[in-house]
Amino acid sequence: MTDRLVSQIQNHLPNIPVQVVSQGAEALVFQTSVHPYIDKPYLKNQGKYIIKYRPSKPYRHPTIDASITKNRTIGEVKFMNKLTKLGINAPSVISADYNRGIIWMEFLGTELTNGDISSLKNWLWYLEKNESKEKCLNDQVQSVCRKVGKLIGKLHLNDMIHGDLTSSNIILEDFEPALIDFGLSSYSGLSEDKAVDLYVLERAILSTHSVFSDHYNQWLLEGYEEIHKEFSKQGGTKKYVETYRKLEDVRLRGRKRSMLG
Amino acid sequence: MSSSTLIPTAEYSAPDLKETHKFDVGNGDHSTDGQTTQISDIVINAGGEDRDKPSEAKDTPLGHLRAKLTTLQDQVNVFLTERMKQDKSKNAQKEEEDIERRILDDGVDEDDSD
Amino acid sequence: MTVDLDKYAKPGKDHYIALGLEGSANKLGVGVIRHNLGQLSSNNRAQVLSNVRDTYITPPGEGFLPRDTARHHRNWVVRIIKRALIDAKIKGTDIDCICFTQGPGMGAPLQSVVIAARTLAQLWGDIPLVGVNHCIGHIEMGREITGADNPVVLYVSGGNTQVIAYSKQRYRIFGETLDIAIGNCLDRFARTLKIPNEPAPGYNIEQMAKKGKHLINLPYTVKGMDLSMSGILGYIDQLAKEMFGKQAKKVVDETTGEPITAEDLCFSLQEILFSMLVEITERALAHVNSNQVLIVGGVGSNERLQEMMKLMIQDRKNGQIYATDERFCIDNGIMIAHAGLLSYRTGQTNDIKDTVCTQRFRTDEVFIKWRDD
Repeated sequence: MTDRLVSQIQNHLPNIPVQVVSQGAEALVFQTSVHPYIDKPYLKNQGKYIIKYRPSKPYRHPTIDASITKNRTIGEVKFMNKLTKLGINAPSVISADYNRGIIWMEFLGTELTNGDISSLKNWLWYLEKNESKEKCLNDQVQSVCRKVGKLIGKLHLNDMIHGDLTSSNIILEDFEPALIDFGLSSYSGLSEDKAVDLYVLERAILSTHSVFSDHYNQWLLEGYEEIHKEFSKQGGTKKYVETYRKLEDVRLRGRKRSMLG
Repeated sequence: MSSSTLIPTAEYSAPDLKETHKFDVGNGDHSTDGQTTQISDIVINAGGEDRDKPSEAKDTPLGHLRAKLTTLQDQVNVFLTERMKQDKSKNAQKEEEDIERRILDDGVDEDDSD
Repeated sequence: MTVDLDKYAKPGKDHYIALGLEGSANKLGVGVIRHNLGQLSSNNRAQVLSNVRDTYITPPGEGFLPRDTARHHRNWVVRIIKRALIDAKIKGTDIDCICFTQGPGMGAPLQSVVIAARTLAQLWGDIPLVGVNHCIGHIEMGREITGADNPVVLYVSGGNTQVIAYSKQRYRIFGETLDIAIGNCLDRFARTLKIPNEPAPGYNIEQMAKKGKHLINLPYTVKGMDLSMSGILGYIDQLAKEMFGKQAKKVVDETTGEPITAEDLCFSLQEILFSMLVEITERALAHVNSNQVLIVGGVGSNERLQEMMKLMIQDRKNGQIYATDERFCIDNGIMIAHAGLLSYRTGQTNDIKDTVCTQRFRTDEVFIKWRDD
C-alpha cells in the first residue's frame, strides 16, 4: 500500500506537511506548502512546492536499487539545473537528498476543470471526453502540440535526451508546456538517441490518445522541425534531417520486431 | 475409395519457363522417409538425435497417399533448389551493379542553411 | 451494451466447440475449448476440454532452426491432434471452427501447422477456419483463466517482450523491447553456457539463478516504457566466454572476494532484466491509471519474475497481480482455440485464400470485436 511509502517520506522529512499528488512508476509526487530555506523565493508559484520521492523498490536487488535511486536523483537534478540555465521550461530545483532519493522543486501546472493536474495527457483526455471533435483539433490544441514539439527540439538541439517522453510528462501552465520527470535523461548528440526519444513519445501518443494521435503527432513533429529551422545557422536543419531519417529507421525496426511468436 | 485413385500431382509454371513442369511420382517404392525432409546436419553434429521421424505409412489408401506425397515433395524440393541455385548465379552479377548504384545515387542531402 | 456472442451457434446447440492449433515457434500445441452460450463470466467460464503440447528440443548450445522445427510440427501434428480429440472426447464433426496461429512467428513452422488446419477443415466437411494472432491468444487466455478484467499485460516470451493495455477495441502496445526479446536473450545466454535445452533453456537458467548470490555489475537500459537488452547480453556473453573459454579468466566478487560462478551470472542476468521488465510494467500502470497486472508468455512462468512483480504491485493502491501456470503461459493450442472462438462468435472467419500466415503480425493490428468496453 502507498501508506507505507507515505510514512517513509514523513520519517525523512519530519514536520513537513505533505499531500500525495500522484504515484508515478518510480516516484511519489507530493505537494507541500513549505520551502526548505526561504520565505519568499523567486518563483512563480509561492507557497506551493513539489517534493519528488523515489522510494526504495523492494523488488530490486538492494545493490541495483541503491544505485538506480542515487544515479537517477543526481541525474535528474543536474539535468534540471542545466535546463534552468538554458531557459528550457522545466521546474527549478530547490533542494535534494541523493541517497534518500528526494528532490524539492518548483510547482508547475494548474488544475483543470475536473480537478486533475494540467498535464498534456489530462488536458487531451479532458477534451476527448467532454468536447466535440472540432474542439479536440482546434487551433489551441494544434498550437500547444507545436509548442511541445519546439520544446523537445530545443532540448535535442542542446544534445539533451529526456528518455521518457509521454503526454503525462508534459505540464501545461497557461498553455505553455514545460517538461518534467528526468529520471531517465541523458546527454547525447547522436541522431539515433534523439530519434528513439521521439519514437517513445510518438508511441505514447498513439496508445494514450489513439483517436486523434495522427494529428497530434504530426503537429508535434512540425514544431520540432520549426525550431530546428530557426537554428539552421547552428546546423539545425541538417540535424533535423538526420534525426528524422533515423526516426523512420526506428519506426521500421519497431514493425519488424515482432517476428517470432 | 481405392488406393489407385489417390495419386498426388504437382505442376510448376513460371514466366521464364516455356512449358509447365509436371511432377510424376511414378510406380517406385514410396515411403514417408523422404530424402529432402531429414533433420539437418547441425543437430546431428551437435550430438542430437532425431526424435521426430515421421511414422511409417499404414497400408491404407491414406497411408499410401502419404508415402507418395513424400516422394512428390522430394521431387519438388530438388527441382526448386536447382532453380534457386540458377537464380543465384544470375543475380550475383545484378547485385554488384545494384551496390554501385546505391552508393552513387544515395548521397547525403545537402544542408542548405550553411 | 455487450457484444452478442450467440448469433453463430449451430441450431439447437447450447455451446460452441473450437479446435486450436499453435506452432509459431518450437512448441506444437493442440487444444479443444468449449464455450457455453451467453457471456463469459465467473459463472460461465470457458472449459478446457484438452490441451496437448509437444516441444521440439535441440542439443545443448543449439537454437531451433525453422526447417527442423517445421519438420517436428509436420511429423507430430496428426498424432497430437488425435490425442487432443480423444482427451476431449469429441469427434471432428462436433467442432464449430478450427483456429490456427496466423502469426507472428517463424515462417516455416507456421506454414506446416496451417496446412494441417486447412486439410482438416476440408476433410471434416467445410468447417470454418479462424486465423488468430498469437499474442492475442496469450492475452485472452490469460484473462479467461485468471479472471483479470482489464489488466496491463506483460507479454514475455522467446520472441516477444511487450507491455500492453486495452483501449477502444485494440490491445495497444505501450512498451516493448527495442532489440531482442527477453526469452531470446535468456536462450542465447543458455547456449553460451551450454546449458541443456530440456525442458527449456530459460527454466534451467532459472534453476541455476536460484543458486547464485553474487551480483555482477550490468548495464540497466530502460528507455521510457521501452527497454533494450542486446547490450546487456553482449556484455555478459563476453564475460562468460572469457571465464569459461580458453582464457579461463578468474572473476571475483568485489565485496567478498569470492569467485563468480556461472550461477552468479544467471542470477545477475535475471535480476537486471526482470528489474527492467517490472519497471516498464509499473510505468505503463502509472500511465494508464491501472492497478492490475497480468503476466503471459513462456517467461511469465519464471517464479522470480512473478515474485518481483508481486512486490511491485503491493506498493500500488489496490494492486493485483495475475499469472497463469505453465499449461497456459507457455505456447499452447488452447489459447488459440479460445481467442479464435471469441473471434468466431463475432462472425469473423477466414476463407481458405485468406489463411496465409505472416511472420510479422503486430498485436495492435487486431480489431477486438468481442469487447466493447
